[in-house]
Amino acid sequence: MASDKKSEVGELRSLLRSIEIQRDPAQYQQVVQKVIAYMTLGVDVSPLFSEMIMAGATQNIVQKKMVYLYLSTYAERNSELALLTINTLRKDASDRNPTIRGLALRSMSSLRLPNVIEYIESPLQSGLTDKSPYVRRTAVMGVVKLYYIAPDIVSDMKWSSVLYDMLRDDDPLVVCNCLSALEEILANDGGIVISKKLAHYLINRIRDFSEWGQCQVLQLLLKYNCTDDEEALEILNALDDRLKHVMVGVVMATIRLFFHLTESMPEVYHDVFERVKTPLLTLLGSGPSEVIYVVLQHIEIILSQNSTLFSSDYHNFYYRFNDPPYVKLKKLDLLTQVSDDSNSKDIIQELSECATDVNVGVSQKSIHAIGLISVKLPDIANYCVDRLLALIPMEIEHVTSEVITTMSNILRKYENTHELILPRLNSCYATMTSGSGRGSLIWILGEYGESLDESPYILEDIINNISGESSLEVKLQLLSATMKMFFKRPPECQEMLGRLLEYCIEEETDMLLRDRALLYYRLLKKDVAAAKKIVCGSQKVYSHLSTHSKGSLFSEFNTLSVVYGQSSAEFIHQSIPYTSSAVLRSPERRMNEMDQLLISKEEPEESLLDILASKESVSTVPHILLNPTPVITASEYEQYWKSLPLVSQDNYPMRYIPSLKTLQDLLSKRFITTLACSGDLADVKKMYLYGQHVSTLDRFLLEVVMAANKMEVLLKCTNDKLYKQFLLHYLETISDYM
Amino acid sequence: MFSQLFVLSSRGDILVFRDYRGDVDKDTPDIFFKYIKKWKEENGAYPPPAINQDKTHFLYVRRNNLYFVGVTKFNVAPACALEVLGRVAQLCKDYCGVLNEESLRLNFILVYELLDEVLDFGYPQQTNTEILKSYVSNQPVGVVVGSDSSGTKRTLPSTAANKPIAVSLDSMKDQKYEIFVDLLERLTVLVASNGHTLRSHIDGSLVMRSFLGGNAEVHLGLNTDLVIGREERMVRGTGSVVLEDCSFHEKANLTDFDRDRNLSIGAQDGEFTVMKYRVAASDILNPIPFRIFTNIEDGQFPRSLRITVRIKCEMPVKSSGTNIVVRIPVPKTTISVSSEPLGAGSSTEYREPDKMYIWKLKKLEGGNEEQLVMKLNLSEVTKATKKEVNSVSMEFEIPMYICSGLQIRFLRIFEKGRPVSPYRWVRYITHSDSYVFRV
Repeated sequence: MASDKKSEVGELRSLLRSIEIQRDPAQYQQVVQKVIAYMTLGVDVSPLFSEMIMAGATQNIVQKKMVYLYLSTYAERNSELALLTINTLRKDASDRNPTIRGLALRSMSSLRLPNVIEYIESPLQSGLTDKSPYVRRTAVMGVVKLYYIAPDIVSDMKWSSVLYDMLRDDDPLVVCNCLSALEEILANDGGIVISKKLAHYLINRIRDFSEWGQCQVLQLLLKYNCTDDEEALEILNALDDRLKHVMVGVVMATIRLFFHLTESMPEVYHDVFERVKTPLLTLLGSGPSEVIYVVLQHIEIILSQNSTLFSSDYHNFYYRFNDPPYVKLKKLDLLTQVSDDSNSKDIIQELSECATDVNVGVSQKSIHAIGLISVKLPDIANYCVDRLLALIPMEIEHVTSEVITTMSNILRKYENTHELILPRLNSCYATMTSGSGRGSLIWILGEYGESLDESPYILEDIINNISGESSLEVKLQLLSATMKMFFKRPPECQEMLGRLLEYCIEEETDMLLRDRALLYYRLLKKDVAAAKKIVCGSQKVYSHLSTHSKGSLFSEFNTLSVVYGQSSAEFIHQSIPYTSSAVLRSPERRMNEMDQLLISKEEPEESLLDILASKESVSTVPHILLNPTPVITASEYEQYWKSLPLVSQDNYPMRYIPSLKTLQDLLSKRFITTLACSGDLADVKKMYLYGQHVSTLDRFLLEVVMAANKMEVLLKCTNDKLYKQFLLHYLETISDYM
Repeated sequence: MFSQLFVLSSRGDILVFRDYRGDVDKDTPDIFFKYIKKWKEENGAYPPPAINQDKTHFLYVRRNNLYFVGVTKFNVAPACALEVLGRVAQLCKDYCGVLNEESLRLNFILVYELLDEVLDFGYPQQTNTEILKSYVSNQPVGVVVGSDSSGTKRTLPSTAANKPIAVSLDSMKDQKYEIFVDLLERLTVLVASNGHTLRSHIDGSLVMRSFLGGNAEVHLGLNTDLVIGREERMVRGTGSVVLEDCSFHEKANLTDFDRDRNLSIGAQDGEFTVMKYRVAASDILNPIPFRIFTNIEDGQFPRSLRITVRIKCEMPVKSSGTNIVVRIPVPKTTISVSSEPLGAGSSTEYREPDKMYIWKLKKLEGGNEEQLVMKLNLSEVTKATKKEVNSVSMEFEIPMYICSGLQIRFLRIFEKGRPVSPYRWVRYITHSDSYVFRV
């Protein structure tokens, strides 16, 4: 292959050099076109650089463009040779034809080479005052490109003030490019300054701008602070018709600006919700799926602020059979959120129809949604359960499994519904193949099975086949459920519990399962009454199924944050150009800092998070070296935990909690072992961790409790001089989630 | 703003690739396509249009099996970014005539020229088909040339508008001086198993495709008794046509619209949407144009089913639906499906992997009905088997028919203030969007 390509490049070279071909413009262009075709495919055609420069000296504009495209791709690798093109480019920059002048400016500023800067400075300078708007706007972008290779020159030439003056240009595209340019080159000082005069000038001209220009202007206006409410209302009136624009981008930018402008006027602010409702619904009706998806995401964010806004328009969120699944799933989310006592029956009816969608993800989500609504609206809970149970006889595997999982969630809130579900369980187990469905079924049996005569026998059947079981979740649930059942109906369960424990301890290879079995075994051996207390302890704390609220994202309206459902801090690491979302983010960030201050105030000596936050001071705390293969048994661990003093107890905010498996892997890479942990399904996740110093052999024992967005860390250790280092080591390891 | 923009074929081949800012690696098309492939394997569907891969963001739109992808590192406004990509796809269609892999391969240098002008350093610049002509030097290579019809013909094939716009003065002479004005309505209808219409609405658009050379101004009038929005209904009373909401093209001149429902717009070459509207159609779509009745019963033999699907066209006699496709899902345990012989113009097809039986009818006239009797052999029958046939969906076109009753009263073209008379093609078409009957 490689030699093939080499020979192809060689062939192209001889073609480019051929005098005959150079004499025939059509053929010459064909060859150049071929080079570009190879470039597109990712073939390295950079060896043809000098031949291509030759090809650029032509009157054929198509060929010229192709050569310039080639140059901007490969110039960085051939910076010496690239100098040869400068002459042609400079000549073109003073061509009579404005299209050629613009093309030359755009190409020379795209070369990204420090050694050509001196040659492009003056063409750019004269480009900014060219009589053709096309050349002017190209020159403006050229200034930004130059800024990235030589920021000093841009400031030495005082180009930012030139650009400020050019905001009054007649051509709207020139104005827009100046706005973009100023935002980038002034990014370090907070971007362009929107004065009152500029703001009103832009608003008055808004209809001149292209749809993209309007998006940009509306976005920039977020940086403007009105002098009083009256002025804000004036702007609202002036821009009201932007809500009727056919481009979703313009409408979204307008909505964000409207919310921003009315923040200080609660009543008007509230009216804005009503005002934007109809346009949003219209946007939902037509347009490509991709954009509809974005609209749906934004409606979701609006709902987080005003949950009843779309209550009577719920049917707009029924999906169409030809919607792509990502749109269908989002609509199901919205149906759940707009449901209330007035519309929930209709919605649930619709959802139970959706349960048979061909796409498994969509089908399961509809069932899940019924569960969410039942938890949200107690009045309709029984109806929800009826509809869910009506899905079981369809005997569709993924439907049944999702129904059972959803039921297990509903039971946590409405315990008495177990009478409805229990009789149906026996027939379900056989149809299900997924681990989570069967796991949930076993959980239900363990919790409520005592009132059903055959429950121990259902469990027994499963235990008899445990060697063929591959799902860890099923096994873990089975172990816990059998324990619970044992305390409720001991005579029927004793024998099978014994078998199960024996199997898990002797034959099972998974550590988690083995450890849990051992724990149960020892508990039973030591104190049966205590074991009962622990195993059957009430854990029916119900937290909402959908945990993360999207409210905080409202301040990042009309950005990718809304589409990802994450704050931009998690997925953006490039901060230039300065975007207005960053402005609005700063108060939040300040709040985090306040949180940190509060933490450090409580325990001033242990503000490790602060140390972690500032990179410089990290070096002041030396790194700890841990034993890569620490050995400790569960009972030893227990011993140490009892005897050692608590050296640190602190709370840390978490951005989100990953799966425990992920955490374990992460920690084990840095030599922190996990001795025991709760299941992933638990609302409060717990981990017991252990580490040992490589030389001093000091032991560190950690108890980590994670819930919602908080992590509590308890640390005990044998050497209180080293604990800070260990704690820092731990926090660093998981810092991605903090 | 985008750092890169590229177009991939359905197999992941790079058709064009343009790097604007040089701040992202060059292997992005590969990363993107791998992600799409993986997602499709895992979820059996396409991923949402914004993808975050290691803090590099891919926004994409899929048009005619081509991926138009923008790459950025910044927290951009998603709707605007996706619309830029949609616009790029539209430009490619305007300039190449049709949008597919072949036309892009033939015209890739032209597409590069467009990309060079449409974005600069990743910021959208000129995206207007008409104005861009003066910056584009390549001649488009047409893939499908619309049939050459003489001016006396009253109708044209529906593909007639699929031709590249003329770019240079030379080709402008050959270009036919004509304009296509389409009033398109897409119906969404959902009917419950008891025959009640659960929801119905119309999404309409007025689309122009102009080949007038860019200097013409188009004046058109809609129904004078048109009512827009709930508030207006209070003021004006009910008119014959009530639109829930509508929006207009940026350049549309609406000075007289409130008074006499006339509007004008400068017709740039290429395709553009003049107006979009939405109609809540519960009273207008009564009766709905097509109705389907499905009956499922046990067959003669054990483990067999007999499904009868009857379709009735409830429109006035002079209207008719064409290219009708009815989709009937069959149970998973189906071994074979056969149907009783059908009349001319009907055909059936069984899509085994999708467990879907397809019934196609070329045409169905108002007041008429057709029937399909299917016989299914199954490997196993459970209580749920019949329920697997849960909904029947259909697709259709109704030429020269608009459900909402919206009309174009007149269409006049002016050039430099003087009336001119190009070929004017006004077409009314109703399409199904999501048309579903629950069984």
